[in-house]
Order: sequence, then structure tokens, then C-alpha cells
Amino acid sequence: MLEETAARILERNAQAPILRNAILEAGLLLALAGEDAGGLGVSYREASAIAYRWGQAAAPLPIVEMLVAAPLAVLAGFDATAATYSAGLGVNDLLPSSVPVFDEAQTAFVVTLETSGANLHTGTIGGAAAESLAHEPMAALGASRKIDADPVAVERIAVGGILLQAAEMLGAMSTVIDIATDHANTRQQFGRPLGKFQAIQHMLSDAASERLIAEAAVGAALAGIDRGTATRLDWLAAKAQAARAATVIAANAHQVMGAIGFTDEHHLHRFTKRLWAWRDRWGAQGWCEAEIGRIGCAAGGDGLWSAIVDRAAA
Amino acid sequence: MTAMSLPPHLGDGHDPLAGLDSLRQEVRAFVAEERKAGSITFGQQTWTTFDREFSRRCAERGYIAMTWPREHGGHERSAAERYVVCEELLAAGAPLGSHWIADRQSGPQILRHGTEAVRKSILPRIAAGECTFGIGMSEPDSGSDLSSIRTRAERVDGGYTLHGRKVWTTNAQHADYLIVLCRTEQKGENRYAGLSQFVVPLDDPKVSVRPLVNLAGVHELNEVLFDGNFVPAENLLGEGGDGWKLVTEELGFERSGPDRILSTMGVLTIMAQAAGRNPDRHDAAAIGRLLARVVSIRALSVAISGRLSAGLPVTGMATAMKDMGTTLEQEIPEVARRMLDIVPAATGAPFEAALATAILNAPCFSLRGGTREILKGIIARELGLR
Ligand SMILES: Cc1cc2nc3c(=O)[nH]c(=O)nc-3n(C[C@H](O)[C@H](O)[C@H](O)COP(=O)(O)OP(=O)(O)OC[C@H]3O[C@@H](n4cnc5c(N)ncnc54)[C@H](O)[C@@H]3O)c2cc1C
Repeated sequence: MLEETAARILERNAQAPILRNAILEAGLLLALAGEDAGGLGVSYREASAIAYRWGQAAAPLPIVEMLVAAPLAVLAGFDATAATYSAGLGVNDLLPSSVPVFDEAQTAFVVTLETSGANLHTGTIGGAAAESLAHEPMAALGASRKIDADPVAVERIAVGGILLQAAEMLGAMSTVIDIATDHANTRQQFGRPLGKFQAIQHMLSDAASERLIAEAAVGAALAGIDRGTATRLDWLAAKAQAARAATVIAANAHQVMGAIGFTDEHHLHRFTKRLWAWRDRWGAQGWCEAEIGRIGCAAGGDGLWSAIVDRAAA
Repeated sequence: MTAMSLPPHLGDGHDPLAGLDSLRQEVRAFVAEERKAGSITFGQQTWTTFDREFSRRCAERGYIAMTWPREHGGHERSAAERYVVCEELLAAGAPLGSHWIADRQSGPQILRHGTEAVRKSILPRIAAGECTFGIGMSEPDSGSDLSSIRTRAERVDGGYTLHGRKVWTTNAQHADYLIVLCRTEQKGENRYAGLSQFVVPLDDPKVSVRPLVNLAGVHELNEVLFDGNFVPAENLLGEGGDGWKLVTEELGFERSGPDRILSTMGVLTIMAQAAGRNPDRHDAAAIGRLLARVVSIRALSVAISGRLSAGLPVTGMATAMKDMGTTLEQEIPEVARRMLDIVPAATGAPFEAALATAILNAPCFSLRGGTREILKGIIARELGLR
């Protein structure tokens, strides 16, 4: 249902302010807020459809931040229905210096992840900061204060943000693969389509395999947080794999496309630049990987396998 | 084209392996016993290591033929239960060579395409851990180009006689049977037509098995010669002439399991051990990259196993999983050698031996069961290229 609604709205190709109104009216922006707070109270897996469609269309608006801001606003005692919020994630006790924004954004909810649990801060939206690799408008975080909120609830929403970011990446990956596959089947050199060349086939095969693995990992982690069985390893691995897949897919797609894909005119870069930017948003790849390694080492040789497969009962 | 994408929101959010913890614990207790008894020795075995006694003990616990019908000696358990048992045994590095091929592919192949007589006589013995199978596909002149095989079956009274040669036949020296792909008709226009699969008993003076020792000095591979041995008609699988379809199906079973991720899991545990409880960032990141991969590729393997039991197509996905999984199996020892101060030595202490075993076996991971290049070609076709 959510997915069809998102798709219908995205079809109109609207500019940011109109798009925001449309998703606010359709209730999508409050998908993750509870029904008592005026939201839809859907699961993270269901909400991932919206992020996926957004990534697939390279649509304007920082949808992941907007979606996650709703339940954070509720936790912080704000009126979620105002929908003037962005969000962000910091690690190692550091607040991010900037967050993605949209015209109406006034407040940011920022989570810092701890070894277990998380802290919630609210900050004002400050002046414009350097735009991202994907030219997304960013703003500096103004005056901020820590909010007294249940660290477990805060962490759960932050993890939702990490996985929605991964889902948005999956959407962008799928468009990139479609663009490159279509090009390989239509562009001819040496009298035949590029896709007839084995080197090209293998690059696209690797791209599709990486996406599939990322989809499986993100899917398992999303379902796991909805059930309450996901481990830290599950969601860190999902984001790390989404980043790895994004890297391979963007690189291979550009190679398959040749010079045309390197131009401003061709739309490929709208997707690949987002992938490059999102690779490090909501949990930078390097941080995820080091954290995963720490979890593995803390489990030790004897506990490693158990850390990979054992899950608390739902 | 089958599906090559699993967007999370389109799934059902169901964890196929949920609720199987007590089964896991049961297998772990079995593994602990076997370790104590010395039949599982860390780092010196692989899942192709032959140990009939070990397989018998697996059978006693119901760990073979888990999903098959009771009337054929099976245990009518779910694919998820089988998955859990297999991945626990593989992660422990257990010697599964005596039953692995039969349990993974030959048995299911007989169950689906065998005559009632063959099912009755063979399947219960596999389930009891008493019967070893080998795969008779490759030939000296036919590796990746499998449909070019020349081994032929000639029609005679009551059955067929076999003539030809198979190579790289894992554990044929111990096997009771091979499933052999051969020509039952001359090769014509359609190279995939006229092939058939037979269940061939090896206990026959007209069959000879010769060793092909591998680079680690281990004898697991063989050459098998068929010099007019008789195979009863009831040992034909399928309709006859449909061998290509059958062999493709069989390779599907061969490609999607946890054996394509976990061959060097022992080396990853050594790395986690050696880096200590508080690793520096470099070691943590190196281990983390691999571990993220194990978790993610396993998630795909689990999803595929869920689809298999739901009867959904998996060809492209299973192929992708094997390609990426075996690359990971090769990457683990490579990262380990740069991280660890351990000199690999096949006859050395456990850690040294585990690293040596992984290094010496790594080349075959992306060859056996279809080479990396062939797999990528299959995936490309699934994507609509070619
Ligand atoms: C340890 C081990 C166990 C095995 N066990 C068995 C078994 O039990 N039963 C059995 O039947 N077989 C078995 N095999 C054989 C295995 O299936 C073959 O090795 C495999 O199919 C490749 O065939 P080949 O070795 O003849 O190599 P070739 O087919 O000659 O390939 C050599 C190289 O060329 C590449 N190549 C070939 N064709 C193409 C192409 N069209 N495009 C691009 N590159 C190409 C390959 O990818 C490979 O890199 C085993 C192999 C190993 C290593």
C-alpha cells in the first residue's frame, strides 16, 4: 500500500515543496510515528518501501531523515505532525556537523550511538553547510541539547534510520543496474551489443550479485528489528554490505557506460553520486566495518560462530 | 530469466531459521563429543574428507536425509532444519565426505527422478550413512563445456553398457555409486539433446578407479573408467534423453548451500582469536569486512533456502551466492596471512595447519561445482544479457 502511494506521488516528478506536501497529505511522512501521535505506526520493513522508491527515483527531499524524525519527535515530546524535522546520526559520542535539509526544516533530531543504547539530542537548523557529493542541501547543526529519552527506544529508531538509508541505496542500485544493463543490450561496438562481451557480462553479474547480497542482508536486518531479534552485528553488516555493493555497482556501471555516463547530461550520475554520498551516511562504511570486527573479536574464536547465528527468541 | 533481486519490502519478513535453537544446541553437543573423540580435528579436514564412521553417527542422529519421506529412510523434517544441521557441521569443520554428495544432490536427484526400485534399494542406505556417492560429470575433454561429454551408454538387453572416462570424481575410491552423465544418442544439431543420467554401481570389474592426487598431496580426486559395465534399465534417471535438464537441476542443489561460504570459517575464528578482545582499528576493520560478508552472504543463502522450500525459482540467486561465497572463502585466508604472525604448515599446530589447509585448497573453491567464469555467465543470462 505504502509502496503504491509512494510510487504514485513520485510519478508526478514534483519539486521538493510540492512533493513534501503530497507525502505529508498521504500520511507517508508520519509512517513511523505511532497512531496515537497521528502516524501510521508501520513496521520498518514496510516503511523501507518508501525509502527504496525514493532511491530508485533519485527524488528530492531527504526522505530517510524525514521518516525517522517523526518517531524521534514523538520521543522528544514534539508534535510530529508539524513535519519540519530532519535527523542525523553521530558515532563515538560526536554529533554530526551537518544534516540534510529541506526548505521547511526547523529542527534536527540527532542520535549518538553508544556501545549499547543511544542518546537523543535536538538542535536547531543552522546556516547552510557544504552540500553533499550528491548536491543535497545540508545545514549546520545549531544550538543543541540532550533530551532525556529511553536509550533503547532511541537506538531502535536510529537503527531504523541506518536500515532505511540502506534501503534507499538499494533503490538507487536497482536503477543503476537497469541503466547499465539496458545500455549493454543496446549500445553496439564491433558490430554487436556490448552485452555480448564477456568482460561486460561479468561486470554486470558482479553488480547484480552484490545487490542481491545487500538486499538479503538489509531484508534480514529490517525484519529482525521489527521482531526485536536483530543483533548489532546484523544491522552493521547490512549497512556495510550496502556500502560495498554501492561501490561495486557504481564503479562497474560507469565502466559499462563509457564516456556518456561521465557527463552531466546523462542521468546515471544522479544515482551514483547519491550512492557515493549515502555510503557514509547513517553509519560510515569504515566505522561499520571496524565495529563489526570489534564485535567479532569480543566474541573470540569460541564465540564467533554463535555471534553470527544465534538470536534471542522473538 | 528468474528473479535476481529481493527488495526487502517485497519479502514476508519471515525468518526461516527461527525457533530452531534447540536443534542447534543438539548439533553442537554432537560436535563437542566428536571433537573430544578426535574425529573432528581443527583445521586439518574439509567437508570432502571421507569418514564413513562419522557419517554413520550423523545418520544415527537423523542428520542425513533429513527432508526425505520416511518410506525412503528420511526424517520428514523441514529444509530449515536441514540448513541448521548442515551449517553447524560445516562451521565446525566436520568430515562430511562420506555422505555429503549423496545427501546434498544424488539422493534428492534419485528421489525426484529415480525408478521405484532404485529409490527403494538405495535411499535408505544413504539415510543410514552406509552409502557414498560421487558425481560423474567432468571428462578429460569436457569441463566447463559439459554438454560435449563423450562417455556413452549403449542399449543392451535389460539395460545399458557404459563406455568412457570421467575425471575429477571426488571420493570415487570410496563411492558405492556415481550418477553418470552420458550420451544415449549421437550428438546432433542440438548439443543438449540425447544426454542421460544413470545411477552406476562401482562395484564392477569393468569399472576401474584410479587416483588423481591433488596439490596438497591428498587423494580425493579420481579418474573413473567404464569399459562396458552393465547398468540395469531401472538405473536410468528421468525419461532418458533429458539428462541436460536433470544435470542442470542437480547443479542447482550443488550451488546454493552453506558449503559455499564456510570452507574457511575456521581461519576467520583464528583471526578473531589472535586479534584479542580489544583489537586495534586496522585488525578490527580487516576482520569486520570479512565478517560483514559472512553475515550478508549467509543471509542470502538462508533466503534461498526459504525460496527452495516454497518452490520458488532460485537458479540465478544460487549461482550468485556460490560465486560470491567462494570468493569470500578465498579472501579469508588471504587477509589472514597479512594479519597473522603464523607460518602456514600442513602438519603443524592447529592454527598453522588450518591456514595451510585453507591456502592449499583455496584454488578449487572457484572451480568445483562450476567455475567462477561460468557462474558469472549464467548470472548475466539471468539479467537478460547475451
Ligand atoms: C576439487 C575439485 C573437485 C571436483 N569434483 C568433481 C566431481 O566430483 N565430479 C565432477 O564431475 N567434476 C568435479 N570437478 C571438476 C569441475 O567441475 C571442473 O574442474 C570444472 O567444471 C571446470 O572444468 P575444467 O577443470 O576442465 O576447466 P576448463 O573448463 O578447461 O576451464 C579452464 C578455465 O577456463 C575458463 N573457461 C572455460 N570456458 C570458458 C568460457 N566459456 N568463458 C570464459 N572462461 C572459460 C574456466 O572458467 C577456467 O578458468 C572437481 C574439480 C575440483 C577442482
